[in-house]
Amino acid sequence: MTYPILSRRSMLKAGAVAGAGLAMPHVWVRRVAAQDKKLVFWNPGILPVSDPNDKTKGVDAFYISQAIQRFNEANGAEAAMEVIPGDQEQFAKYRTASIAKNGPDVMIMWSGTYLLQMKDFLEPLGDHFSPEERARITGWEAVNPEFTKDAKDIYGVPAASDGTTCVFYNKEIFQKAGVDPEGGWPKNATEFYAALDKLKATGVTPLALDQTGFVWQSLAYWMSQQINGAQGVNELVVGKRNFTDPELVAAADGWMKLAQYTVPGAEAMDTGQAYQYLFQGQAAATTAGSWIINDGVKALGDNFGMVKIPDFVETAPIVHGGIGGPGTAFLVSNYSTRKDLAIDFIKFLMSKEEQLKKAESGEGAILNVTDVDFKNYPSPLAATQQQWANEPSTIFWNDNVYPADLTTEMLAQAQLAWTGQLTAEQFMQAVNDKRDALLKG
Amino acid sequence: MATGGAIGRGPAAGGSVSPPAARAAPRLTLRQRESLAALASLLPAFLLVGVVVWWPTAQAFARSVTDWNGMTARLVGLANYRAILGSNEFWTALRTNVVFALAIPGILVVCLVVAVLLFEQVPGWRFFRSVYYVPTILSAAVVGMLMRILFATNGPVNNLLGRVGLASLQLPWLSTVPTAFVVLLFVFYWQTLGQGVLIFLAALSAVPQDLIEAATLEGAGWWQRLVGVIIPQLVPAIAYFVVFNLVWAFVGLFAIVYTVTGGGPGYGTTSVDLYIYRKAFEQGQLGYASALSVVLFLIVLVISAAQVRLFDRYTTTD
Repeated sequence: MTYPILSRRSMLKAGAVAGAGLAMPHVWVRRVAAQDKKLVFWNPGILPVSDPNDKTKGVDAFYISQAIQRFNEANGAEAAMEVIPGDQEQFAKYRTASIAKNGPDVMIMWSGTYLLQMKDFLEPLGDHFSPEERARITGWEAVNPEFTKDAKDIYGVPAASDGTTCVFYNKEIFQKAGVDPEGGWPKNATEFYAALDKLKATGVTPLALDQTGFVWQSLAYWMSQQINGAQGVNELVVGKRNFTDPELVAAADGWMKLAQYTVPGAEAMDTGQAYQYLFQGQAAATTAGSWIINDGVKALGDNFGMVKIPDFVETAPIVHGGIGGPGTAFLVSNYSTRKDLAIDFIKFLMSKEEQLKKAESGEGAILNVTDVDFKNYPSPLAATQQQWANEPSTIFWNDNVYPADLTTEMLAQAQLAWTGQLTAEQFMQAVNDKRDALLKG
Repeated sequence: MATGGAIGRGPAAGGSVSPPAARAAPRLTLRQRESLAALASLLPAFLLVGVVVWWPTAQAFARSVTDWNGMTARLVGLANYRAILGSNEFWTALRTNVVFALAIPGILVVCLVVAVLLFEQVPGWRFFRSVYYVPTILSAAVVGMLMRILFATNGPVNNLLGRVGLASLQLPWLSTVPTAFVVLLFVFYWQTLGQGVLIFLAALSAVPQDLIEAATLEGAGWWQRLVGVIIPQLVPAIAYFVVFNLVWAFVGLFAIVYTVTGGGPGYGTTSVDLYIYRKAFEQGQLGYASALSVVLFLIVLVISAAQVRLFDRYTTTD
């Protein structure tokens, strides 16, 4: 047998090929390992990444960016946040991406039916959280189809509490108008209109409301408080109660009267724009949840006040309450190839240490964990919100309970009613008809 | 030449004769080779159109008879179509498209007049020629957001009207259906003007000058020349403009409507394409939305075919 004589060049070539061959599996393994540590997190602006009072503030200056950095350092991970459009666009984006299976590993989204309508794309998380882990987080009723606290089938992790939506106001303007929210706050709608008249007389528009808040905060509270809160809302959805019931029509009628005290165009006004009217002293008050506190305090300082939305009638089953609760939740996509890391990421963000840091940042919504003290909030308003959120008079968001079609109908008809193109009866009848049509399938 | 080479390798050149089975495949004629080359050239384009247009279209047809949420599908026959035709929301949305379609003659006249004035170089034509196309190149989303701000109830338009003593014209532009349509049609006209003027300027430059001169010598005035000589020459351009914008009025409103009014107040300015978007991506009814797409496709197909046939009658010369 003869052996070919290899030249030095051939020898080098063969060596290089062999070396590359040996190295390939290592490169592949390292690449796979790196992929396993990559995590895509979508944030539709629910966790703050911009400051309306300081446009120069970069994304890295916000709590969530710093939390991701800490998670990456602690786990050798490469989690990255992508900020996507908020409001209804978040659902369109997640749905389309999920059909193509190229959505995020983790996302924070509005809870309730908003989240549950994506159920086919969501990883069930019941088995991933021990009873102890669940016990220290509140709001689990917002992430399961039965809307109960102890359900096993959960499709998300409640991320925060919106507190209780209420009236945020400019103390100076209220004082000038002789309206005392602390001592003599209206007990019913009639007294509320009288207070708004006093504010209007000062030359400042009493209220600035936005295109979603004008329905889901004031109207929703006045309706829900009269039908015993969440229980009554559920009865509306399943048809045991009607939107045309006299107390609900009366609430809608009373709510329509607020239009004359509001910056015109609420039905088409962006949320941030409505808040700016208050921050710049062009409106005396707005309605919002705890998410406004940080920006409000920055803009108005000690002049920024907070009081609950007056009751529609003081004899309602629920009084001195408001709409709110765990309005957002984390989800894990069921097509994610890094589910364990995604769950670790959520647990990290919900850990006591991180929740403490979040509270100290004063950003966004308030906490929904039981082991962090209220006193860690930089603003006493946030601590009060935390207290309110735990009261039984806080009613869970109606739109997080209604089917998506009904939510759309309510908003569309509310625009017409608010601008006087429908009567309260016609408004409620249209919503009721839609509910009936949905029940018929 | 290839043929010469073939002759050179034949038996007469001293080569051996191949058995019939082993002989090279019969050579293609020039026409066949050209056809093959043409097909090969077109194939990538056909494949692209097939994958990007026809496959999704076929999918939409197939999905339209299902209850599909993006993950699971259930065959429901024609139930989606029945639901669409019985739905007030669909007919309200279609009304929006029809309003835009009916507004096309208006912008056609505006474009024609502006194009003729530019063509005749009226005073200021140089300045106008440099700016008329700007609105067309702006993204519809940008224009929409701009108009939403301008026409907000407390926005610059109402403020201006108040300052110049026209407070009676201060309106809640986006809060009532008729005024919201005024804003939307204003955006439509504003964005379409550049495109229309460009088309008609190009067509005007192709009108034989001797025809116009002959009409002038015969004593025809400006208006008579426009109606009797120029416009008949522009019929193909007018046909293109009308067909293009009519199709657009049914399938291209989404960006404007979504950004300016969001389809409101109520469903008052919701167009069919926005309705499809809401059903598909906000409410997850992708099967229903597919059926809506098919209905819209058929409407546009019928209208376009009728229009093309109508214009053929005026433009075909035997």
